[in-house]
Amino acid sequence: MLSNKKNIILFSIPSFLFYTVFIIVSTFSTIKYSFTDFSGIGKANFVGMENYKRLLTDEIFIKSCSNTIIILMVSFLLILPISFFLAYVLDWNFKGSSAVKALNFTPYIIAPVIVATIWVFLLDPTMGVINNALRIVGLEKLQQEWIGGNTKTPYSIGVVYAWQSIGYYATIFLAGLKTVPTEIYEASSIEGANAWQKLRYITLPMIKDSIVIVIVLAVNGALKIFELVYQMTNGGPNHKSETAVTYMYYIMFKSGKYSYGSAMAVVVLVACMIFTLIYIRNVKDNLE
Amino acid sequence: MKRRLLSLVMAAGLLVSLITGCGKSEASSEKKVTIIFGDQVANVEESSKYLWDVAQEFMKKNPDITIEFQGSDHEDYISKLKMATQSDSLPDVFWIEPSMLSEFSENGYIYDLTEDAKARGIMDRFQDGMLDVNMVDGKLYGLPSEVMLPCYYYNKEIFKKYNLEVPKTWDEFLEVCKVLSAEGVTPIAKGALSNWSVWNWQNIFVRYGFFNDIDDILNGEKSFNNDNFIHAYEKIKELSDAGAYAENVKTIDYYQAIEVFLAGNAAMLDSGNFACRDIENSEIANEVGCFSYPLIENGVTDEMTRIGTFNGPYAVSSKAASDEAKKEAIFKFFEFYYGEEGAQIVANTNMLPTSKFSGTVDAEKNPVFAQIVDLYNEEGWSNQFQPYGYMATNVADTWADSMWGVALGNYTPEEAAEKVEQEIRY
Amino acid sequence: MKKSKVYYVLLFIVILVTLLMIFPFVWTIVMSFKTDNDIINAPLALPKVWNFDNYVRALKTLNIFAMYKNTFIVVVTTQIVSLVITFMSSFAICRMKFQNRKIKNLLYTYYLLGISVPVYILLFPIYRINIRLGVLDTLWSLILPYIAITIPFNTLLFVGFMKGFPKELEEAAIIDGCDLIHLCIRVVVPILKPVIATVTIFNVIYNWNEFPFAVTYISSSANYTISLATSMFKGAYSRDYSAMIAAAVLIMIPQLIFYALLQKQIIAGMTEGAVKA
Repeated sequence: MLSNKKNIILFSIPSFLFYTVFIIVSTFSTIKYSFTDFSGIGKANFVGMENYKRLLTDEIFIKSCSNTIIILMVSFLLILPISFFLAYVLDWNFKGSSAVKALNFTPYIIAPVIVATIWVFLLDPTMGVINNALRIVGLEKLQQEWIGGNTKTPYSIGVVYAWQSIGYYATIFLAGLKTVPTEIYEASSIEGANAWQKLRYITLPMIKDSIVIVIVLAVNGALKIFELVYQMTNGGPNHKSETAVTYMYYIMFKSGKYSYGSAMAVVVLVACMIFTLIYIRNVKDNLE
Repeated sequence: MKRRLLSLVMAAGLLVSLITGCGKSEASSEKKVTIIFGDQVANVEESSKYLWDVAQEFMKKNPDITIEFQGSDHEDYISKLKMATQSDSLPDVFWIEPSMLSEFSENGYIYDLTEDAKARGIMDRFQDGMLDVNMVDGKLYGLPSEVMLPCYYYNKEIFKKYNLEVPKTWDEFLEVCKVLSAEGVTPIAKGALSNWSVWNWQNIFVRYGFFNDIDDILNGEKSFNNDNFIHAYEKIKELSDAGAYAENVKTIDYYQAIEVFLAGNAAMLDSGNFACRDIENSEIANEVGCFSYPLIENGVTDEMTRIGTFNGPYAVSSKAASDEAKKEAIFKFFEFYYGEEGAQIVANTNMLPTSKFSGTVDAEKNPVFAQIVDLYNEEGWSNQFQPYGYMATNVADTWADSMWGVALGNYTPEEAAEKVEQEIRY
Repeated sequence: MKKSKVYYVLLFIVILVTLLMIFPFVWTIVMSFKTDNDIINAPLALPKVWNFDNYVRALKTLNIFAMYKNTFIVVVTTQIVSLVITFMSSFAICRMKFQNRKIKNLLYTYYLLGISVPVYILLFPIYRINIRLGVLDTLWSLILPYIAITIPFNTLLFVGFMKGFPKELEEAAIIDGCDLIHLCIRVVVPILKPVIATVTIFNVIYNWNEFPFAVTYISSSANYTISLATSMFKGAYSRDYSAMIAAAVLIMIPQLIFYALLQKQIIAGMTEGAVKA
């Protein structure tokens, strides 16, 4: 029954159809446009690799890529350990852990425009809470241009993104932790294993799949950041804090260079996909 | 069981959405005509109150015509508009950037209004030459939505406190900023996150011959990177060096800048007539005055040149114009909007009417608006178009960005001019 | 679990982290009672007056029930269809025997690549698809793409977790003569309840807040979804911050309730699954 061709097709077709039509065909449309001079309205004329060549010398694009990588590293370093830690403790099911779980999830559902407003109040170099607190405590020298400056913004964005999504990833880890049968822990307790050994030799290996999921989502998520940057700095000042996607959006929709933006999109897409492919391969999934 | 409940909900949902989905009101029956009107704000009733009020009054007088507004926030609106051209689904009447008129008309998306506007006397409702900005090759493709009159609002109390007079010349203006800055008061409220909030800087460019050269520049005969414009950028730098802007100008947007001004935390606000309503409704309404930007010596044009014309025109889609009944309804609306009654309704919302208006403004109830009207009617000014709307959006955007770059110290005047030049030649 | 000192330390750290997480949320609610002026000029101060003015203004401007209704229809329809079809295709990848194993891996990779796609590049192409299907400005113009977008994510999670579950139960059921539908519904789905609940939460939250498609494909105000609510307070030259924040709170609250309700499902499912296994 499980090898019945009809069943396999029946089960696979609906997703395949939806996905191919809406996602794949659309992406190919974008790829097609990247080889034209389409501006968003009017005609599209074929121009070959011109858009891609332009990318190589586009300072802003290069800066946006480096910003994106900074955001990725900062958020990744924060997200992975903290969300796992959170899930690990929540798994103990102490009193009130449901409430704690829900509370940690709240950053994820706040509208980005509000997140931006709040965090700018914290990060603003002159009026923000952080610098003001440093001043009060006498640590003025540590004050930085957390946001609105020329260099530190991507780091701040990474922190905000991490704050926003830690609860989200903790939920995935939690689901993974719940799949580990308690009998294994009990058995190892009998053999004298302590908490740390249980963590290292039982938990982590058994939730390997969850770790893979979180890494794939976190990396792709960081590379696709848009709303946050858009609302906090609008990519500025003077495009210094653009990320790959915000700059792409600017070029495609605000600057009237839809085709150039498409080329940008293709580059970002390919980078993300390569990462995902290599990573999945290396982990050697066992799809029976 | 939960599954059954869910399937019931699903069935109900599908039913409802099917009903909702079954065709919009394409009521072009004999009796009722519906005009789909696109606007660049999500909440037309609140944010384009003048338009809304006129439309409501019009519908009362013409029960057989319905105007249905479809609005989104500016950026989403523009991208939707562009997409709509690809599928022939533009609204019947819609707000559009003046710079988009030529592209749209070239591609046949919008209707040539010249004949109808002339025949119905709509053209006579405006001062001579005011409609030029909405023309492409001598043909009228748009009718104005609002007046664009940049100005500086200032807080009379703060000025009195530091013994300051309204500056008439550029040097006086710089002095005022220096004095205020030394006293720890933010001279001008401004927000860099709103790239487009560069109204008064544009005035500087107008003074340095923007409209003398711009056509040649766009054609390629001259360069944007020229001495006159570099002087203009230098003026912007002078202003910034005089301490005109608060330190947090980089992290706030225009809307927050308004709030800073309204709380009395800044002496001036770089804005225009369109902010009148908010200021009128605030606590400091009676302490606010306005002035057009200060005169710059040694410019290129006449000293008293300023921006004082129209913004974002309304265009009519070719598709709507091909439907006789709709076209008739649309032009009836325009006649009303630009007529005496329409102008009065607009004025009642504390907005300057675009058409000739002979009503009066109650200076006690609307102190700020009354001053704006006086400013608008001030003699001696040569009123120009808004440069921002004159260029393609990406060029305008880069230009605004370059001005901010100079003000924030990120670009030198030469670099700024070069950036715009490159964008034009793209 | 033994309540050692380490236990309490870790618990304390978690409480700290939680406070950091919810502090902005609490602040948002406080802000929703302030005036525009105070929000910008006195950001840390408590409201001078605690009244519901902002909420009243927000509710007056928004056709809130219509918006909730539309979002509800979109989200529920999307979720049901998405869960069914992604479960099916993930089950096929995980448990069914393809003629060629390579096809199975290819299919899995095919779906996963979709995670990398930023939605903005889909905006215009899907616009055209919606026009061809004739669903522009209806709720279907959102439902159909939303279903498609959930597929990569759901596949990642379903396949990821299904792999780890032992097959003995299923094999036993097949030997007992269970047919395919019943196998899925009676045996597999109950074990997967925590995953299904997790996937549902994420899909629903994403679709609830989804903005770019909603603002582009819907033009008639009667069909607005709730995610567009904050944009209603953005004018051309002014912004009603305080009402916007009040509206944002109104958008958030149902999501929290939904999340809390569904969390219980996860815990319930866990115990059920453990017992069955």
